[in-house]
Amino acid sequence: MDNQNDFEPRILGFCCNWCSYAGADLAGVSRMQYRPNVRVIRVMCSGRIDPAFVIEGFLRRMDGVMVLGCHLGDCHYLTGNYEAINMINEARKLLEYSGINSGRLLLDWVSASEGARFSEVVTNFTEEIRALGPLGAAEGRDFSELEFKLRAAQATARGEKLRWVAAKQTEFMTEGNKYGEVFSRHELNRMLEGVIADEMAVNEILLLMKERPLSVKEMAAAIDLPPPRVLRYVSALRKKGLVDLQSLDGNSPRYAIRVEEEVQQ
Amino acid sequence: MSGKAVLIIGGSVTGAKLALEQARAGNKVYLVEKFPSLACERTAHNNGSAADQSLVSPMLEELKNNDNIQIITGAQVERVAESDGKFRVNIKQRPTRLIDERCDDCKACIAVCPVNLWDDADQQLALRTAIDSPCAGSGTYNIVKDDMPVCQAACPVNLDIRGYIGLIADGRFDEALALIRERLPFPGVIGRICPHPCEQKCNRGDQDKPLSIRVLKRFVADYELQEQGELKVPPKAAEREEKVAVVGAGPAGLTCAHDLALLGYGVVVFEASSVPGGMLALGIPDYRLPREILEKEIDVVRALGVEIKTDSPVGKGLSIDDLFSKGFKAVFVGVGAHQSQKLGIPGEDTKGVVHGVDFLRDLNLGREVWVGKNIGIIGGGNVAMDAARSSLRLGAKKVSILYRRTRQEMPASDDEIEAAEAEGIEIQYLVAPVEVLSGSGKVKGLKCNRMELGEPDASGRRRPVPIKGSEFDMELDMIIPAIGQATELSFLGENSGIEITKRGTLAADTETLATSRPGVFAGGDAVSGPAMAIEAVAAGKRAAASIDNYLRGE
Repeated sequence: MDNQNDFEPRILGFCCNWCSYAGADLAGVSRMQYRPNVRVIRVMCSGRIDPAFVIEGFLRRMDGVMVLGCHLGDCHYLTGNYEAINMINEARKLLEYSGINSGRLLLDWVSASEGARFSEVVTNFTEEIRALGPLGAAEGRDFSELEFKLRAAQATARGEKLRWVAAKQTEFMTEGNKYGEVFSRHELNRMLEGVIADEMAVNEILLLMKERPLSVKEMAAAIDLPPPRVLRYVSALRKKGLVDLQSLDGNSPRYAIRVEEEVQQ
Repeated sequence: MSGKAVLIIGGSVTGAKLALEQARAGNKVYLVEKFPSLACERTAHNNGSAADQSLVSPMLEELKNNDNIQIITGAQVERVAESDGKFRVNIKQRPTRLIDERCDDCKACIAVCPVNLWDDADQQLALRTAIDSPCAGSGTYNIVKDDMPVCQAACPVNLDIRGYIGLIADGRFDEALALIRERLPFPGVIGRICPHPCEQKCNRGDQDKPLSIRVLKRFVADYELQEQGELKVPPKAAEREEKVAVVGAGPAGLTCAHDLALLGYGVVVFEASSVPGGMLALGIPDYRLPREILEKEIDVVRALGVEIKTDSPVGKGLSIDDLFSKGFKAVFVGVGAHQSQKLGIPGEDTKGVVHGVDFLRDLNLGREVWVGKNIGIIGGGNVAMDAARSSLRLGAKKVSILYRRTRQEMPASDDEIEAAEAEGIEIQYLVAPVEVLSGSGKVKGLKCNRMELGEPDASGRRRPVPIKGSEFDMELDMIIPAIGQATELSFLGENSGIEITKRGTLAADTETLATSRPGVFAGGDAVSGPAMAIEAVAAGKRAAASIDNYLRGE
């Protein structure tokens, strides 16, 4: 497969200001050789990487996204990289729900003195992505198909619901909730997955309805979910005033997004 | 008030109309509605409701403004009791968990609420969020927060099961054990012998099998012992002057002593037998509960500074009065139920009839125990199972358990019944003893009756009735009756000032466990009659908290 060999992955790299970016700088100043596939964006902390940034990278047809921060315990802001673990964990789940191999997202630690390590991490990750092939190839899907899912994932990541849960993770695991109940990582993961599954479905439904009014059956067929579940989401959306009954097509009601809400969206 | 007081349950259109009728007639009306807003408020006015029900708004207005109508929303009637034509009603109202004055009805909370659940107010047809307003018109917001997980509610000590299983799943075993120890001082013991009412309630059981809550507890307890070799002694509060005496070193007494010691009190436990542990040491065979586990966990109580005096019965030489005059400020009585109940049939005193509790006690104390070859056990509780399985281990050839009801009513835990059957013990249901047959002063057999189930009795189980002419004889050389235990209370003496119930147990307040004598508290089997060890632990905890309150003068 010549095509495969010619494939040069496009990789987006987020490096934290205090460690990894300085590490990258050191690699450059020391004239170390590494793959030219990565485009680096400097951020103040790896904890700044919102899952929505990662999704946006893939929407802009990156083949891999790499987040590098300080080693655990060395964070300039003390706990930023621990938060990064939570965020990237969440981003991985979103990618999986979108049908994207979560191996395309890397979180690793590189300190300011580890120029050699930086070049090694970049080279290894580039080779891994090269082996996976262009975005969609490893997933066996067309990009337009992935794009729809990614847009739903982006709306999910930007939405308030997921942020509420994600932001509470550390608090719930240490101090507990309002009622003093402390949760374990596996319980929170389960809750996070539940919210992601719900929100992905809701956002896919909203995306579909943006095109044109649809019946529950049509929506269910388009996003491959059982119609009763879609109806549940649609009735919840109606209750919240996001969706209206638009017309009756024989016996099937068609639903549409409420107009004034669309402006806000 | 001149009129009557009327209770109407259900705030539907019909309920609201009735309420108005009654109020107009001059009666005081209480309208109780299950959901946070009246059902008639939620009635959709555009989808084909009956003509006379379609105009509810003027009615609602009047309903809310009528001084004679008190609307109680989010509430359910729990109990109705009638006497002399008057009703006493207990109503439980759920809090809305919201400060109404601060809410400006923006609905932003509903949009972002991450918790989706079935909407009961909508017959579970749609989803609601944990925070929701079931009625758009009135803006009555509420947050649904269930009381406790079902397993935790089923546990007598309300162990945070959800929490510790979650921590085990995360691999945080030490924290899981610490969480268990907050409510239960003996995880290794209870993790082995508990009949686990929590698992019966586990929701996962509806799907396939309940989570193995009890064994997971045992696992973390064993893990600590294996990794560290010794058990962790929890930190104590500052020492306090007052001393407390505990009578009986069973699960109730030891838990009470443990909790009081943590609070800083000096505690002395008086135990009549030569070993501490109560029924855990004397009743439960060591194949179910290895003695070193029990001893290690009792050692933790000792390490907290509790003095356990064995071979020190309270009674003749040392009465409750003596304890008070020795300077103890409070006494906890947890003497258990160690006296076996008699069968009440002829020939019961024949040689070869050994009561289950006595048999197990002698065995557990390492005394010489005689065992027959062909044994009949009478009773269907865990003592019967323990006696049967123990006698098999001691060399009995054939062991049969006779129970007068069916497997369904059998009080022994399912695991125990299954284990007994797997070991080759025969269980005969619907059989009751009539007479012990003897020859040359020894047991020769047992005359029995076949039974059938009649009407339910006081315990709610169907009472067994003998079938006429169904008598038959069984050949046996040893009979172990295990039909229940009673509490031996003669040690209290005549003028103890402690009330005893008709059932022969100690009378104690259900909340505080205080007896009729100030400063004396009681709990465990001595109050409840024979029950689970975990219930005794719960009683010990409750008593320790009450004793603390009592000594602080609250």
